[in-house]
Amino acid sequence: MNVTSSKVEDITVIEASGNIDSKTAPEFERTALAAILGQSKVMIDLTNVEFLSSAGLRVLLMIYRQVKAKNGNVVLAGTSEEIQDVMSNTGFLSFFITVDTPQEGLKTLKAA
Amino acid sequence: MVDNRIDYYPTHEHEGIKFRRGHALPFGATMVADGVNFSIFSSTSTSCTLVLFERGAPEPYAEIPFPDEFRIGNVYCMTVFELDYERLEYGYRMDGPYNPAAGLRFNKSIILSDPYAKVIGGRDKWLAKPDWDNVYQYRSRLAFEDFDWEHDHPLETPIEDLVIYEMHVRGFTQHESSGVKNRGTFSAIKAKIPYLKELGINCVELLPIYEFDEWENSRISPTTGETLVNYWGYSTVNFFAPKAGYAATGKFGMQVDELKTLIKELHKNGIEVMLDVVFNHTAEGDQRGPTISFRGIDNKAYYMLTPEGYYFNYSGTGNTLNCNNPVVRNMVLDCLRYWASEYHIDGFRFDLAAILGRAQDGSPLSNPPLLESLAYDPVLAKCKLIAEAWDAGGLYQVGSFPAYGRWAEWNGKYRESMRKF
Repeated sequence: MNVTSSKVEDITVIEASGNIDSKTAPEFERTALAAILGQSKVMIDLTNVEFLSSAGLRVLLMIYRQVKAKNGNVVLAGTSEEIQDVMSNTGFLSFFITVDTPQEGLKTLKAA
Repeated sequence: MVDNRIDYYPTHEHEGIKFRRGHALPFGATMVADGVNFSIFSSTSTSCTLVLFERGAPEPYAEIPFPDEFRIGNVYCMTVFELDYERLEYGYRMDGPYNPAAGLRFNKSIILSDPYAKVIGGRDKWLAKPDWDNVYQYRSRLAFEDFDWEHDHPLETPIEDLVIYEMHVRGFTQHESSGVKNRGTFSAIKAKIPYLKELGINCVELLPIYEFDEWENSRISPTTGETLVNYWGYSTVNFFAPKAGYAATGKFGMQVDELKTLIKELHKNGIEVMLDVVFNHTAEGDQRGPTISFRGIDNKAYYMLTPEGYYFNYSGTGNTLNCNNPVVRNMVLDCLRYWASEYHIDGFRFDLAAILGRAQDGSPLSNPPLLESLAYDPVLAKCKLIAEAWDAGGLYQVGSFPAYGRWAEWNGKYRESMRKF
């Protein structure tokens, strides 16, 4: 797993790749929570994420809860169909705005 | 906030694994800061060993004997550090006498599942062929218990207003005509909520969803040659864990979240969720049955035994859970409180509930402590309690079930008459 964060204007972009599971979720959590501190527009780019375990899904919801506390929005971009299916079955999907590509994600957040 | 405590630090080490004295309560495996607290009751064993596995591994990676100083009363407890919450599977070995006539059936060569485990691995996908050579078939796991319920609350619909749809989780959507994804799962029921609303029902009663093994007593049909399995699930392996094979995400170990999501969505749509619960016996059968958990942990406590050490069979399935033993009674209470509070369950239908009113020697009690405890319990106070008011031992209590003003009853004769009408 690899995770980076960057800024596009006032939007925080968190990009992850590989598997986010119990071994890698702590690093994902540390990087993401540090990057979103005080932010209200957050995009998580999951285009290159192959698998999200329970622990990984919980980090997404932690990000959502913290951004929501600032009345912000979290957009998930590029989530694979399989991950979306798992997220829908386990209730995580309904919290997020989902878009197909990072470009769409930026557009959505700019308009928010 | 307490972000540091003395007991966050290990005091002992065994083959590189760090641990310390644990907390006796709650029973089961509980996530604590940087570790897991393990606690298990056994009144007749002489020693206990915690067995740790990597998920799905054929052999354990560690076995840690409980130092005697960690035992409080009849409870072994230990906190182990730096475990992978998601990948961990754990079990126990209990040592003690093998003396069936005295009700003792210890066998330390068997790895036992935790009666309080919240997730069971090993039967993660319905009808996936088990590896019978694996030394640990029903593998205790940890559950994340931080589900985001948002504003959900049990509906507390008056019982007289309920229109209950009784369903088998798999059977309800397994046929392709259901037209939904992930057929035969909790998730598929969620997809059928519009249909359920159209029917006008306001409660679903799920046939047993406690973890069971569909392969139990499996056999080949002599007429059709097909493999026959336990479809109905009235044979509990673990009372706290939802059946993984009923979850589309069971293969990822996410059945807890999937079931909670179904319940949350049903509630949003004004539909209550009732569970058909089977506390009268377990999947361990009689003396010929497998030792999965209870028999190897404290046979005399968990089962009603004859004076010769055989199993009373008021359930018609080989054994009878010793519901009015005070320890077992508390387990049933803990279990129902867990489902009511963690899963927001609206009510319970008790299979062969007359057994819950029998004493440890099998005789019917006039004031059964378990039924009374459930009737007056503060956590269960708004849950529907519905008894199948008879058992397979001839105790028939329709109209006379000890109800404490709380218990409702199934009426079998009324049901049969209606069907013939």
